[in-house]
Amino acid sequence: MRRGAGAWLLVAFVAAGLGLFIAAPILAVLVASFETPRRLERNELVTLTATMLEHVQEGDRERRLSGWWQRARPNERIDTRRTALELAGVSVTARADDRYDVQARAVDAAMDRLAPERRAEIEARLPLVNAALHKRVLIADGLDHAVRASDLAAFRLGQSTTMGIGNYARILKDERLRVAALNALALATTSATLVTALAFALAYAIQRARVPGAQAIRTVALLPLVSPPVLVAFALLLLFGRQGLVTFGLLDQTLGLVDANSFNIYGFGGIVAAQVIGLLPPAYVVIDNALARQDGALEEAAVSGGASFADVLRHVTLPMAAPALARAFIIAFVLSMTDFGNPEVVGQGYPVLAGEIYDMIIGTREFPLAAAACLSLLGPGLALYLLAERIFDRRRYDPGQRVAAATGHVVPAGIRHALLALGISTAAIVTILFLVVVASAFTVYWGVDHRFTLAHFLGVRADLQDQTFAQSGFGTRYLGLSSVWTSLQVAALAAPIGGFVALLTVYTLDRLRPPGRSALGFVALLPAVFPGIIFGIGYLHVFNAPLGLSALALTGSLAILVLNILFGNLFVGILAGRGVLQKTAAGIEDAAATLGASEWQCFRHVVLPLMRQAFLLGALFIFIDAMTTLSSVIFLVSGEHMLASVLIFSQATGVEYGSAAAKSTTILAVVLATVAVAFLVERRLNRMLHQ
Amino acid sequence: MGVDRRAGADTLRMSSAPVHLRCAGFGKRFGDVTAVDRVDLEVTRGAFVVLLGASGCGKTTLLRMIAGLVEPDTGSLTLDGMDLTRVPAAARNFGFVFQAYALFPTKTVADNIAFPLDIRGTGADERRARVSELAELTQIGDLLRRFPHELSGGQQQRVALARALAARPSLLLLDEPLSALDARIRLRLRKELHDLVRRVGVTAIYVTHDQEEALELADRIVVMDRGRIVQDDTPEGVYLRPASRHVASFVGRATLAGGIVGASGSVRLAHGDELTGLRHDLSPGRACAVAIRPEFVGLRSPAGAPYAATIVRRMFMGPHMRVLLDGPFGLALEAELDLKRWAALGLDVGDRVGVDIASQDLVVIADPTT
Ligand SMILES: Nc1ncnc2c1ncn2[C@@H]1O[C@H](COP(=O)(O)OP(=O)(O)OP(=O)(O)O)[C@@H](O)[C@H]1O
Ligand SMILES: [Mg+2]
Repeated sequence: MRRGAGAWLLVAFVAAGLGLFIAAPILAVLVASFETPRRLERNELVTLTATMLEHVQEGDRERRLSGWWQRARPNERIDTRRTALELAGVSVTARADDRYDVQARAVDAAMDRLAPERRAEIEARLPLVNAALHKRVLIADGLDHAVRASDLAAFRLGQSTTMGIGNYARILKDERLRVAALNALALATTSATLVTALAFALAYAIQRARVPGAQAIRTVALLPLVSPPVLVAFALLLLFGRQGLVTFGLLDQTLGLVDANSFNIYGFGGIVAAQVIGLLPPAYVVIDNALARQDGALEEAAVSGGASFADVLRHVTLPMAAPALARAFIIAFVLSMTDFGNPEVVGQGYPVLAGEIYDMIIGTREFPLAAAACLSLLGPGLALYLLAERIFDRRRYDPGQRVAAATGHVVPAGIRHALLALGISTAAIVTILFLVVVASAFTVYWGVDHRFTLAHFLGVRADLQDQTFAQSGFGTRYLGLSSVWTSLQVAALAAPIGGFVALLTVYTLDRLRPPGRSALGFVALLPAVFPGIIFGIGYLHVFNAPLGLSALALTGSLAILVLNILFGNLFVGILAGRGVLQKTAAGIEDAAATLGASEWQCFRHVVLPLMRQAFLLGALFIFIDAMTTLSSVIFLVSGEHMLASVLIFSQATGVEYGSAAAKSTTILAVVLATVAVAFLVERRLNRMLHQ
Repeated sequence: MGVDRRAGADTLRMSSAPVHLRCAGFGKRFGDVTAVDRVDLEVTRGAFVVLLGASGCGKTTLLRMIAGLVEPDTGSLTLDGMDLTRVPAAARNFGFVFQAYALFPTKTVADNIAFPLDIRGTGADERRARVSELAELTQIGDLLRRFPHELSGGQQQRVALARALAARPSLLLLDEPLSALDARIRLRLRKELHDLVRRVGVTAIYVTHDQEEALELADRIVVMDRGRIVQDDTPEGVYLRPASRHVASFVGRATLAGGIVGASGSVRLAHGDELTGLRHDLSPGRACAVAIRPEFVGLRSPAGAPYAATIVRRMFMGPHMRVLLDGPFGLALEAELDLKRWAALGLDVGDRVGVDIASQDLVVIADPTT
């Protein structure tokens, strides 16, 4: 296709967007993971401190330094003076681990022996040395937007970086991290196995056994797809936690059978339960799709060859579904490995690596180690993926175009009933979990006071009569629904822009076909495989102070949330749009061109209408993600721009259950309403166009 | 439209063979669609029966009911007098060849062929022997280790046939087994398949919508229309004595002319002309249709010919010339004549030509409307 200036502008725009907001953050995490920390020598530490302090205004700098020095505690004073002496090449007879009075005497003696001008010189340096030794954290906190986050973190810890695999080695060596990594592996293996089995059983029940109510079962099982974060884990707590309706209300208080403080769902079992239900939708969709595309004639051929139900399952259905089962397992495995929400909420006492990463970022800010841990999380999943690619020959499972339903393969009544029972129980469990959260949103204090209230929605404390709670005043500004409003703003900004950017990207890559389009296409789809935690950390890393310029900092803004969510989900619209473009031959545009349409007219009148559905799907997906995502934005929210999903997480981890439930319920209502509206709009548009 | 059973032709070959398979009152509805409508069908041992009909007439459904893959709403199925109606497909021991072959993509050719044997727990020696016997029979001996996606369409078709025959089925069912192949291979495989089924001696029911295929393969052709059997006869019977307008136009080429039987047995066509010398046993006053096939139409110079027509088009068909005529009787007739004869006539499009019609060969079909 002929490319005019407008086309090149579009190409530049798309390439810049993808490069800056997808490739750069991911690359930054990759690079950071190899930045191995080295303890700085004391003289290096002083030099670095001086450099950092250059970002502080001049007068302010001196004032703070001398203030710190004047208010220094005795032990800090001794430490500082001894270090200053030693750095100046003066030997002090006491060592750092001697008693302070011994050190003090030795330091005084050394000072006294010095010539006056030399002594004055050293003493002039004392405030700086003091700051380098004891005030680095304070200095760093003031520089949050002026210096790259990783440099700040290194400065806090008194470290410098060299490139190497030290961080990865540390994950293996460090007892705590190693345990967390092994826990994550055990958890992911268990959850992925169970969810794959459950998803297969459900897909088989719906596709093959054709159980009654299949559509309803499928819809309910897919519900976690649009649910607010950690909703399932949260609901499990409400039922089986220390104040859970079942464990505390029924078994402990009413029946006196157990002590809910020790008998509850916290731990491995709780995480697995939450993950299995939460991961069911993606696993189900993959397997259902494969079973639906499987040629029914294969099963019929087996039956007419004399095969029993079990034979068909063993020789045909399962081998044919194997690649999909593997894919579902890998997806569930990776999502479980990188999930920190559920383990933080119900996993108390069962540390996993993703949770450690969260702590590293929020707490100690050890970026490089966190980055390495993040990428380590992907390792096993990548290995499984490569293994599956080797085992399954794509051509062998390609059904071709003609696919018949396997009506001649009849599932025995007993198995059909068992599958129906499984489907109904799954749907019932999911329904109950969602209803429990909704119920607790209208409850004064779950587990304690079950009267009806709207307080959680209105943002007033429901338990004012209970003075201990009323006075705590913890996080009251986050009580109402204002964060849902922020989430809605982000979603409303990101969704339409994202849908449009996706279409521009598809059009640019697949129709303008610029050089390097396959690389750009690859970059555009990266967020589909890189879990949110990496994407979030990458954003924090890159946009804290891009190129060392605090003026460019995006962290703490609404924009970074919009961008992160937009680019993190762009791939949905791109894949959908690409599907549409591939189905409609490029010939349509050529035809329009021969009829005299310009490039823009072509795009506007031919391509855009075709891509309406893709746009809607891409935008809807971004909208839902903005309302419900946790893993990437949790690192990017700020006090001013706080998203509801992040608050739900922290409030469910604390015990602000009512407030978390009210937000969850509102988000659920908003998302479901949006999906319904999108569906109706699409149908209306369809009807309008086909009349 | 009743079933026309030309017993005379049938008995020529098969009267001595006992009835092997019998469907009685077989019927199947899918919602509002009656796919198969109370069909009675008898198949004698060793016969090669072809179910022929237009797309959607219920052939596949009937075949799948016989196989046990579709449960009939009404009727029964017996094999050698044994009632199989409620016997599941897996226990019937019928071989089924699917339209798209349905080979197991995860198994090699050998394992595909041996699948029915493995299901029955056949011993390793017997398994090996049977597989190589079938491979030789279907000429795929050198493909046994391959996977289905590594085979051509024709090769896949052979494997499907070998697999269907592996467990020595009492009945072989084939649903348009050649329709996925291109024309040239289809012709070759049609012949091979015919020979092979004959050699094995298995009773076969073969579904197709290709009348040429049916004429070549069948001992008996069962023509279906809208879920019913409209004719059940030998290939010659179906071609020369079609039971209805539908059969006449579906099998072979024919121009149909409506008319009414006159007092002397002649037929007065709608256009007004009267045809005499026709062979039929319809009573006077009966509405009927006369089927005129191209080979019954002769062309000659216009002088002294019984009928006249104008040449509208000519189509070179290789060994012969197909000539489209305007008239006689206001019909658009077709004639076929060999190239020498055409050259000798020295005619071309737009010329008038004399037409001969061999009246005694024409088929007179009673119209069901009266
Ligand atoms: N599983 C089904 N569900 C609903 N309708 C069906 C089903 N199978 C067949 N039919 C309908 O029954 C009728 C007969 O179908 P069938 O497949 O037997 O026709 P056919 O003669 O084999 O046609 P073709 O030559 O196209 O294969 C058709 O109208 C078809 O749409
Ligand atoms: Mg068919």
